[in-house]
Amino acid sequence: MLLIDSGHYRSTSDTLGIMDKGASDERLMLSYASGDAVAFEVLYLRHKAPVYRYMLKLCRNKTIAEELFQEVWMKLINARESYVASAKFTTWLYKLAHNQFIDHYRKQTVRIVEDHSTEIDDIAHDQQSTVNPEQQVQIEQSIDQLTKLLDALPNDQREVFLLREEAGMSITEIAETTGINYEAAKSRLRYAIVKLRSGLNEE
Amino acid sequence: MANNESDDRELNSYLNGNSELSNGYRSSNKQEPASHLDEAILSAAKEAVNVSNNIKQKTKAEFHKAPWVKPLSIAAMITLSVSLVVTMQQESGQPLINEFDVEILDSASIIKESAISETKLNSEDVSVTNEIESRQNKVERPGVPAPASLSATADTYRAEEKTEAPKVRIKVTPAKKMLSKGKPQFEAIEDRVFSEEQNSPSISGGVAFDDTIKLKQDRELSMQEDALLKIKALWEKGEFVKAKKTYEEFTKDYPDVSSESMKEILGYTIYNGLFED
Repeated sequence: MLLIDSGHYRSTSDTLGIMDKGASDERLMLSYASGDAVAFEVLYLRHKAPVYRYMLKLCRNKTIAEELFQEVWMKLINARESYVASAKFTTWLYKLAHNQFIDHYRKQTVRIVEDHSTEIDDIAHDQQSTVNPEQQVQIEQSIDQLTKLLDALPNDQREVFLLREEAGMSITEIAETTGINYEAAKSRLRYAIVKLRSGLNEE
Repeated sequence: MANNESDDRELNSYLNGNSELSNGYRSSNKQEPASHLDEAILSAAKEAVNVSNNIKQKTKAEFHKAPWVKPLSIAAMITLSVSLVVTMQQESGQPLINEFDVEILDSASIIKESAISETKLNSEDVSVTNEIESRQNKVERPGVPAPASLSATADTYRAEEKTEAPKVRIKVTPAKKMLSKGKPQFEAIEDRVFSEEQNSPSISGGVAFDDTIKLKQDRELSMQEDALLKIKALWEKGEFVKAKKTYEEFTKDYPDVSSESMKEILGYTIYNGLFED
C-alpha cells in the first residue's frame, strides 16, 4: 500500500476510502494496533508536520528536532498495543513528544544549541522561494521576528503556545499533555501571547 | 488589575481564533520533516506490524502443532460437558446419582455379599457337620464312646449354626442428608434394598434390622423437622395464612408430635401466632 517514489512516500489514499478522509485518529490508531499498516500511514500524514514543527520550535535545532521527531514516532509504533481508545490520540501523541523533549532536555541539561537561527532561516528560504523579492523580504522579516520572540520565551510558555498552534489543543488538553493544572496552562499561554504580541508591536 | 483584564481579553480573542498572531505564525511556519524521515518511520511502522503478525501466526501454528493440544482439548471438552450436565441436573432438582443412592447401593452389595458368603458357610458347615457325625457314628458304632474333642466340636458347630446370624452392616446416613434428596427416589431405593434383603437366603435366618429401623426413624424425624422449619420460614416471610395451612396439614400428618418439640423448633412466638386469627 505504500509506494516509494524516488525517496518519497506516496500514499495510496485512493484505496483507503473512508479511512483516509473521515476516520478519527483514535480509530486509525486502533486499526494500526490491530495490524493495519495503512492506518498508520494515514495517521502519520495527518500529524507529521505539526509534530515536527512542535519539536523544531521547542528544540531550536533541526538535527535534534529530527532525531526526537523520529524517536517519538518510534515510541508510538512500539506502544501501539498499549493505546487505549478513551485517550484522545493527539493528547497521547503530544504527551509522547513532550516526554521525549523533556528527556532530551534533562540529558543535555541547559545545552540548547544557539546556531538554530541559520537553520530556521534555511527552511524559510526553501518555503518562500516562489514569492516576489519584496514580499519575500517582508515575510522573512516577520518570520525572523516571530522566531526570535518565540525563542525568547521560556520553554514552558513556548511549549504551551506551540501545543495550541500546532496541535490545536484546548487549555484543558494542554494541561493534560504537559502534566500541569488548568490554571497554570492558561497562565502560561496568556504570558506567551502577551509577550509575543508586545514584541511584534514594538517592532 | 486593568492589565490582567486586557491580557484575558487578548487570550480569549486568541483562543477564539481571531488573532493576527496566530495567523502570522501559521503562515510563516510550513516546515515538514524530510523525506528520509518519512521513509524510515513508515518502514518501521510496517515492519513492526509484519513482525507482530508473523509472531502471532507462528505462535498460532505452533500451538496447533503441539502434541498435547488434542488430548487437552478433549479432556477440557469432557470436563466441561460433564460439569454442564451435572449443573443442569442439579438445577432441575433431579440429581444424576446422589451420595445416598451410592451408599444404599453399597449397602445392598454388602448385604448380597454377606448373603453369598453365608450360603457358602452354611454349605461348608453342613458338610463339616456331616463329616463329624459320620465319624462320630463310626466311632460310636463299635460301642466305644466318641472322643470328647470331636463331640464337643460338633456341638459347638450346631450351637453356632442356631445362634449366630450373619451380621449385615448398613451404612446409616444422617436423616437430614437423606431428606435433602428426593423422597420418591429414596423410597424406590429403600424398596429395592428391602426386596434384596428379603430375597437373600441368609437374612431369612434372622438378620438384625435394627439399623434399618433406626434409619427409618431418623428419616421420619427429619421430615417432621423440615416441615416445621418450612412453617417457620413461611411465617418469617410474612405468609401467615400459608404457614397456618401448612401447620394444619402437619398436625394431620404427624399428630404425635408434642407441642414442646414444635415450640422448640418454631419458637414460642410463631407457635402461638399459629393459633391466633
